[in-house]
Amino acid sequence: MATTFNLYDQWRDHAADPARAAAVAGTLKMAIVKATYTVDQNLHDFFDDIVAASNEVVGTGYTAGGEACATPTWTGPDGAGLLTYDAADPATWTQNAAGFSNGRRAILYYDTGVSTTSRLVGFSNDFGADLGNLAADFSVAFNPAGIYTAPR
Amino acid sequence: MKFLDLFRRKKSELPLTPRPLLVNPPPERVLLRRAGRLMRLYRAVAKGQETPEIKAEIRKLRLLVQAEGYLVDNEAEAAALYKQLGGA
Repeated sequence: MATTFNLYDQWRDHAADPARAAAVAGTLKMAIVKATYTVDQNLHDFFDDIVAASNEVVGTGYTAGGEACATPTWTGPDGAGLLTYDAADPATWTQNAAGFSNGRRAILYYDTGVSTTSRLVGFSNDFGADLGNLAADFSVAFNPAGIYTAPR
Repeated sequence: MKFLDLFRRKKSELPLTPRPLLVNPPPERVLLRRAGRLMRLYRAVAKGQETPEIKAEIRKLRLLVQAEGYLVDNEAEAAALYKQLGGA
């Protein structure tokens, strides 16, 4: 299924400033959170806004902080002037009888190893149901057209 | 003050368009995703952005796509496959 992906306003603000955008550090990662996480698209800026209240899922096969999304790249412009930000998909969370079953959103962020400096990028809409790797593999892939694009 | 307001408005209008994520995607969507990613990675290489990580990801994706019966050795072939599979 496809689920809407949204950018945090603080990330958009950061990306709009070349100096600050160039200074973004860390490893791009995707984490999975429970229904307890209440999104604040306008104000949430770092990963501590998410982990502070134990909103991240827990279970065998899921590493705290989520999975890396390797080689984030800006490509383009294509012939129509479109720029695309994209990265490798996170690894699949392999099925495990002791896995998690209460994932409701995916969170994309740059992990510095310190939650208070790990900058949030975006979040998915609620999956609409509890999902996880308890009964079967669980995977989230980026859109075939990329994570986000900037038109001319 | 007016300048600051203008600056803030410009930033809020920065046209970044997030694309929907695929949750537990079926095989045909996975293949389309791989074709799109390959196309952009080849494009990055063509623009001189080649890194060992990008080369490694291209190798991995190329093998995965090949396992589905498609040979993709460059940006044009990746773009053709992407379109053939329904990518816009």
